[in-house]
Amino acid sequence: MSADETNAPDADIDRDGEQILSVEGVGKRFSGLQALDDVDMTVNRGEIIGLIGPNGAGKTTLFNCISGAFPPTSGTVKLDGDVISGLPAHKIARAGLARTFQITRPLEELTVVENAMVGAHIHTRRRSEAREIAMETLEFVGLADKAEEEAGELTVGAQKRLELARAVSTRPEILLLDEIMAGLTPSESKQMLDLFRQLRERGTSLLIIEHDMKAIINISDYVKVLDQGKGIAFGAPETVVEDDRVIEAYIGGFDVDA
Amino acid sequence: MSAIETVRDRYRTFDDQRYAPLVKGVALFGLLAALPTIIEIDVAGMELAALLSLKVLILTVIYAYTAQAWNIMSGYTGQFSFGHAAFFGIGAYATQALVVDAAVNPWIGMLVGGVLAGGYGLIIGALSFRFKLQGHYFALATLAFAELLRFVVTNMSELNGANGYFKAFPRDYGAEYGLVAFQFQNDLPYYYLIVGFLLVVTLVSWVIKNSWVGLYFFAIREDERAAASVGVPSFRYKLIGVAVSAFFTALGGAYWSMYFNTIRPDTVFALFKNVELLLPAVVGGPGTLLGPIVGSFIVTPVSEIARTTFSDINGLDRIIYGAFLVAIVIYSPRGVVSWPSQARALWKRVRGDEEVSE
Repeated sequence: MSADETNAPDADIDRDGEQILSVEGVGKRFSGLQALDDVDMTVNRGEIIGLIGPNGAGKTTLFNCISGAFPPTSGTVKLDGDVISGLPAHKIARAGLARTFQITRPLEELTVVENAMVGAHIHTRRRSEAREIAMETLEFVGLADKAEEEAGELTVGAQKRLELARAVSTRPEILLLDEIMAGLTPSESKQMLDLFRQLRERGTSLLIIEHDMKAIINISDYVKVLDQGKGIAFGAPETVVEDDRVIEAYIGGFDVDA
Repeated sequence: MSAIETVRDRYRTFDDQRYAPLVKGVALFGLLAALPTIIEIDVAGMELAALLSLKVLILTVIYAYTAQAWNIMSGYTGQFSFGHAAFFGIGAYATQALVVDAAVNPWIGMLVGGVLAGGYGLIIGALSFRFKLQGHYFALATLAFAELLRFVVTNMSELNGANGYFKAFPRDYGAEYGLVAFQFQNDLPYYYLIVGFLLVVTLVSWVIKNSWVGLYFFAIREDERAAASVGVPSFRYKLIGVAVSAFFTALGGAYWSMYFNTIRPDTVFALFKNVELLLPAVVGGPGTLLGPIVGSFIVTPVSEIARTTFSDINGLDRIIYGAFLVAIVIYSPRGVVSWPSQARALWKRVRGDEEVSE
């Protein structure tokens, strides 16, 4: 398979399920710097897609464009067929797309359960119902015993799980996870991968940025590779990591055809 | 030792009950209602009232009330307002202008003032939040909007310019001294009225804190981007906070204008009024229900007593306000009401260390 073919996601890969997220020709320009350039990709229901690329490739920028932290300068993002690019972040969250942040952003002076309740209130204004949803997700990520602790007091590993719990409490159709495994111990990472699989079984799609290549290959159905703001490859994890352009992007500019 | 622990455990069991907030509220407002009687008790041949007069009590509860109102916006949503004198002054002026110039009942004037202040708050908020003003910049913007009103009102002959308003007699607007007229012939009913005001704004605050609105407010205060990422419409909820806070602050201004004889731009819109309106909440504990009330009982009597005792030292009350502000911001940004829990944490740490060393 040549590099050019892998860059056209749906051309030769037969994927199951309906399309949830579709990124079409998305570009983002920061005064002079083209952070993203004409990126295409799709996520189907129940898929786990890994988003990889060297530092500065534009992975987090793409997350920000999709989740509404800022709008893309060109292209469109669709969720369930509806255009969401240009909408404010809270509306995108209400449309069914939740995200976590690379540097965790706990609501520090609130308790753990209150953090999760903020997300749960998307579905109900009743405090008791929000609390029930929040407790369920805390059980799910394994933080139920810390429910009444202040979020700012948590350890790094627990803060990562809280970050996940807050997003999951919105009961999203698709979750964008930005390096949620960074800084975790090996056993915590294993638990996190387990949570990813359980989320997929519930029908939640996942788009994951992660630097741990082993974890990405292990968990992803497909992998999308970004380099210098451009999509350079898409495909099954084992295929993508052997792709010449991907190796070049990671290792550097020597001539692989020579 | 074990007795203390028993008391603490009993208190925790009580605190978990659903009726706990009600009991605490009744106890607090029962105490406030009893204060005028308490200060008349002789202690070792000296009445407390010599030091803490009913007038000082009224002033204290006024500032507890306005701090509670300020808290809804600045303590809960974290949008620090340094310009609440704008809303306070609007309440005072709307009431007096309608009562004196149009013989309208002050209660109606008060509500008009509340709505006008809410509208002014929405304008300030919409402009500031649209242009993403935060922190100090937002605080300065609110101050500018308050100062703007002071200049405008000072130069408006329709509102008597710098002279302001002198309160009308009840008969001038077809009423008699009493609740309907919003005027009384002695201070005691005034005191109970402002305690009633405080009760209302405290109830409103409690309801907000215990609903999704409060949780959204706090989420915005802690991290607006994180809140938005899970569906909190921060722009709208910040505006709600500003409007509610401005409305209740204006009612405080209306009360002020009906208690004191005169209002002028340099009293109700005064630069320093901005500080007086926010300081009790900051000292007592921003974002808490009890903080504004406790804070006012610390700040207001001390500065009033100092002002009247050392009346030849000009501006002593302001120096004391400044000292309070600096001390609390540096040493205890969570305010006085956080001291018990901080002491408990310290105690736990000290005891924990002992157990380890044993």
